[in-house]
Amino acid sequence: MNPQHRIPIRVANKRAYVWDVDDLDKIRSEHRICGLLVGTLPHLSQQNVFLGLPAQLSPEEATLLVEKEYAVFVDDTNAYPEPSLGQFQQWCAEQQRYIKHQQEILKSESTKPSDVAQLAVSEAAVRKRKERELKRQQKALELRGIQEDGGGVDVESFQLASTPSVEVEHSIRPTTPSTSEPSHYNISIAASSSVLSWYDPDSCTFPTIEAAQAADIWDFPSNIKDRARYGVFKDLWEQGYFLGGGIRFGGDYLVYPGDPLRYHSHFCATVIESPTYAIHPMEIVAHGRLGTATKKTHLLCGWDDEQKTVSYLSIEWAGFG
Amino acid sequence: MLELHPSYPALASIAERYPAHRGSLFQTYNDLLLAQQWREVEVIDLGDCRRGALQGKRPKTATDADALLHVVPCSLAESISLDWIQNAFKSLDNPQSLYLAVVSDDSSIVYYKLSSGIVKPSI
Amino acid sequence: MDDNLEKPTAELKAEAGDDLAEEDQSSGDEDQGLDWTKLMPKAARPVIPKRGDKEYEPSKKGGSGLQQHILQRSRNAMFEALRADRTISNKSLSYGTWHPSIARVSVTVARGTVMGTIGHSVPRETVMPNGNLKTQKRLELLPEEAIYLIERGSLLCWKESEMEYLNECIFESVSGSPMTVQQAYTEMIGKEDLTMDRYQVYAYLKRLGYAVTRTKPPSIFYPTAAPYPLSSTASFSPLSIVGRISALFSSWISKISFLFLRNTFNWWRPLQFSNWFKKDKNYAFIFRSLRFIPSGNKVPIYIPPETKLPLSPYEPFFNLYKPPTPFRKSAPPPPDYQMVVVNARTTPMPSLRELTAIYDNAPELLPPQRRVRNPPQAQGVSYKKSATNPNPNALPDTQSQKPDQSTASPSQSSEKSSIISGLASWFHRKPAPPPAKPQRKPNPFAVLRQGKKTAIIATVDAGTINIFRFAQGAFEVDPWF
Repeated sequence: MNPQHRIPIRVANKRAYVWDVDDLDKIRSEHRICGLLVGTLPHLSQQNVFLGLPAQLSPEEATLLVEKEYAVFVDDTNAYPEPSLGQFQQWCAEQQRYIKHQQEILKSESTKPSDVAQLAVSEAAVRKRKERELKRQQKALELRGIQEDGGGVDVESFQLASTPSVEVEHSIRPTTPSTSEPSHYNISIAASSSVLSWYDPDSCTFPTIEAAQAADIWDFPSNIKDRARYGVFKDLWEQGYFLGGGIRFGGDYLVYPGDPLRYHSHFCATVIESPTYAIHPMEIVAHGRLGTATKKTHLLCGWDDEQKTVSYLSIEWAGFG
Repeated sequence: MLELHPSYPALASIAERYPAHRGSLFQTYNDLLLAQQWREVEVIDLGDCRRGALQGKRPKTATDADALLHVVPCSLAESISLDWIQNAFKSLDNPQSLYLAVVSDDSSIVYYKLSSGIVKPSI
Repeated sequence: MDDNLEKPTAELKAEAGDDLAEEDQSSGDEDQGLDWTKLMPKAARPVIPKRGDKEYEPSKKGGSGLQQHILQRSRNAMFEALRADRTISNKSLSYGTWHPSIARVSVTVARGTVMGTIGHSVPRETVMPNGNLKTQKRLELLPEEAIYLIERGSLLCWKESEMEYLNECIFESVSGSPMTVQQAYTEMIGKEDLTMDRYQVYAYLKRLGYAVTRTKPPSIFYPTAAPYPLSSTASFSPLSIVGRISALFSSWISKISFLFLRNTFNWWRPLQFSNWFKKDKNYAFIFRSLRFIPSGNKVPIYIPPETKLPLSPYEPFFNLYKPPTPFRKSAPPPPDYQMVVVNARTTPMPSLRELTAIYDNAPELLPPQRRVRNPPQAQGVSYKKSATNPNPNALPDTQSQKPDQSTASPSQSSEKSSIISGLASWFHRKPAPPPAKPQRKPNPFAVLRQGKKTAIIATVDAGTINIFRFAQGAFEVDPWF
């Protein structure tokens, strides 16, 4: 594939990130690479269950995508020239348009309230949430006696000794603020830099691992341990599996028969650096036992650095003894 | 004192050939025969791993009662490798799987099933 | 995220996730522009997708038509949630300027309760409107604080520039070129000892509601946490071999001479009962009398004086304050916990020396308290309960139930959030208020489980965070009597 059409992997501090949802969709749906969402999800910023952009790619994932020519590395640290005054003005104009757009919607909302429901998620959902919020706030009021700020029961409600100018916002405010002189509007903070007209990744794009290593923005795989990890990762990926990190299960990878969104992993895989690498029977017992508890088979994946091949051994509890 | 045990004669030749591993072989043999109620338990020479291995069938009530299974004993304290396991497979004529009997100092034994290749778990 | 889909405690997952999602729909003070965002066509708040039960495997290569359909729906829901705009009401937005040369963001407009625990003030020379230089205090953010605020949509950050960008639109302050979240990750990580691993742990803790500061002040203006109250047993300086031996002897001698003074100690009969007093005829007395060889962790481990110890990755990096802790960012109290962050791929297990070094600077834990049976709604891991608690002194009581809770369900402790809360229970830093009535002795097993001192270590493997607690054994203390 022409390097211009490959997916950009943004590299900073030798870590690989994907910042655009469409790119993430593509590497997942077409290339079976999932990455790991590590950012704070806007509006749902006090939970760790579902995180947002960026997706961090493991060194193996990023290396594979570039080696297979699906993606290129972008040295993101060098992709930000200063915007010219013109570019900045243009950016400001876009922000202005965005706000104007909001105001228009507000106006149309005040005349035709029925359209609003279609624009927003759904009327029922909004109402339901509002009820829930109201209930919660009432409860909070009861609990606290006095409501210190308009914030409701947020886990962040510290007992603040030094609170800077806290914006008191009334959460139970009318849903249709006055439209004549809108002083309220939303400002949007972009996640991905691709929206900036001055963002310039082209001058610092590396289409191969070697080029990126030579430019010292990437250093995987750098030793026998990395080569073994990568060799095993690639071999399993080439067999059609999806792979995820296995550290929670005491292994190197979790191996899925399909997209982890829909399928349980079958295996927890451990990478063994060489066929003669010492294994203690206790490791087999530990892996086998954990596998039994989690309905997974443990895979020992032996890397042969001379032949560049992988051999597999599956471990399960015998069922007796 | 092993020599005085009633099961020793069955193991004698192999046990004397590989004295370092006769303890784990002896414990595994007795466990399979007496505790696990295996049938037709026999000792075989596993030259590549410098020890004796066992073969036999599970009790009649087991689902796979007729399958001839292979058990390779090892001590919890020793150190093995993937090559070592591959050799065990080779010496046993490349069965689909074999059982590793891990014998600890207090003579308790755990068995783990090793299969070569990627074998997915049963549902 | 895919990691989170499957945890050893998979069965807990579905429900917890949904509840949390619901919880969080209404959290976040800055998000009160919520009704507003609902009206925006593209700015709908993200909805955490619900997940159905997973299947064993695709029925054929790529999955059956139905399987593909369901998968596509799951993916779309996920990507839709990721597409949500990072919007904020102009009345809640803070503004700041990123100064790469000093690795700080100076805050020009500070808003929101989230700022209450973030940032520190620094005197800097500023150009006044009349052109003069004047030293003025300003609020500054460390890189991790700035990234976190930017990515939760609370801060609009400009990058310092020579260019004169004019404020010709809607912003209250313009002091450079606008930064995206991506740019903040790229330019701020790697500065001032902030690694990606550390940032991820920082953000994870912030999302849980902790106040988080640096253990080692990165500059002289950074407020240092108040030290832990010194415990009498603390002897931190690593001793030479001679000092070690003499320390051993002095404790021996004092013990032996003490025994001799009583004129009752006999090496062959260490137990001597008094004929007159009844009070010594109990197990406690017997055990204490038999223990004439020093034990425990009071004797420091030996480090040959000439050995050059390599720089240890096991140094506490973050100080943590639980949400109900009264926290003043200008004068932080002793932290509730300290946390080490290491890279799981490159860092070996901590050595005894490394762990001991952490313990040596950690406060001694108070004995775990007996379980207090509370009404059900007070149980469970709830910051809100404690947050709304008007009396901070009541804290030890509300915590005391937690050790038992995590004992009762060890499976839960592998759940991310409950690791923290599980850990939380083991710390009773602040001396408990003097008990009104004699307290019951702690459960000896709880004492052993808790240990005397503790080290919390977060390991990060390509984005996956696991948090572990190590404890210094407490086998020589007296829970048995």
